[in-house]
Amino acid sequence: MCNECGCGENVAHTEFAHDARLSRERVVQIQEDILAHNSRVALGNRRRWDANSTLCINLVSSPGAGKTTLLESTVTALQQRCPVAVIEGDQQTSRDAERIGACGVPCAQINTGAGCHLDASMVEKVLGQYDLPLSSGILFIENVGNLICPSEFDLGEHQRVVLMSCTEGEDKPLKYPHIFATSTLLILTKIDLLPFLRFDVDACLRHVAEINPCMDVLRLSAYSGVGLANWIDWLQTTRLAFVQRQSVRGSP
Amino acid sequence: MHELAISESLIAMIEENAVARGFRRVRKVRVEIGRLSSVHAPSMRMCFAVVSRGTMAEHAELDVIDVPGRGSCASCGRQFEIARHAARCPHCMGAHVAVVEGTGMRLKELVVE
Repeated sequence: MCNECGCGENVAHTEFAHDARLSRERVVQIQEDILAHNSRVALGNRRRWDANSTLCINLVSSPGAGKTTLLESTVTALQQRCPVAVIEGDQQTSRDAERIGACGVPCAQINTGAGCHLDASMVEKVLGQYDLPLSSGILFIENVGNLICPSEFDLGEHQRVVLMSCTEGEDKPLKYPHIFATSTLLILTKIDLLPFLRFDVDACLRHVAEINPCMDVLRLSAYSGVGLANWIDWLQTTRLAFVQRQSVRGSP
Repeated sequence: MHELAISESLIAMIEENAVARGFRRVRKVRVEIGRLSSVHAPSMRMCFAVVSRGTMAEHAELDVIDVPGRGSCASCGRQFEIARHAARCPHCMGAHVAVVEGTGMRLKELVVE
């Protein structure tokens, strides 16, 4: 490597050569969003879902907040009412896809390997590989358990839903504001454990309102079933409103 | 470590632009990173150095311009600098403050040969 400028070339440049090199330099204006490619692919995904009135919901949380357990209860309750499918995202294994598959709904697994989040291209790829027939139904995407990275990557989803369990600190929304600021609904999970914890629900709700005043909050336990009906109602209401919007948009 | 994926996007953008704008070597990469994004500038520099190896941007300096957050108050309509998402309006103390700047990341310009 050149010791003068560290340019990586296998020669030692003289001072003259360096001046000439500097004079060849020019500035190129770009002014483009670094995530523009992801946004374009996400838009393609969204258009695809819009075209057959599939409501897509991106579930995000820290690892262990109960995304997969909630999905098991959710797809079991929903599949009699509308078509449901799931895309599972994990660094490794297809354990979650097997759990969802056992509930009787189509499920695709994405393994991100070293990656800490799903991006729009990964989702686009499985959409091409798997048959997820979903006219007027709901496609759930369970993101990799992580409160930081998934917040930057639009998958094309219509709703981003963040889960937080009562076994986590009530100040999570303050500590990881980006994901709470970019989600439309918070689900507080594992509320059957509240009698055994020192989790302050009111303080948690105050923190949520501070970060995202428009965010709705649901409380439930996927194990005991408390609050689950409200979540199913929220999904049905959101889906029907979405399907109606799409049909209005699609009509001449 | 989403900075790795973001660095990969950056390299892809540089390579696309190299064809269209006719350059073969990149000396400096100037990016704007919003203070309210979840991108950590030192991690970004480290990831960029790793991802750029063997590309036309190898050894290029990554110049990160810090973009402060800006909020717009829904009550009084004024705009002001904010340090976090959960900001209140400093003028009327309104709690509904929309973030209008400082969450994104842009490739601003390149110094090329």
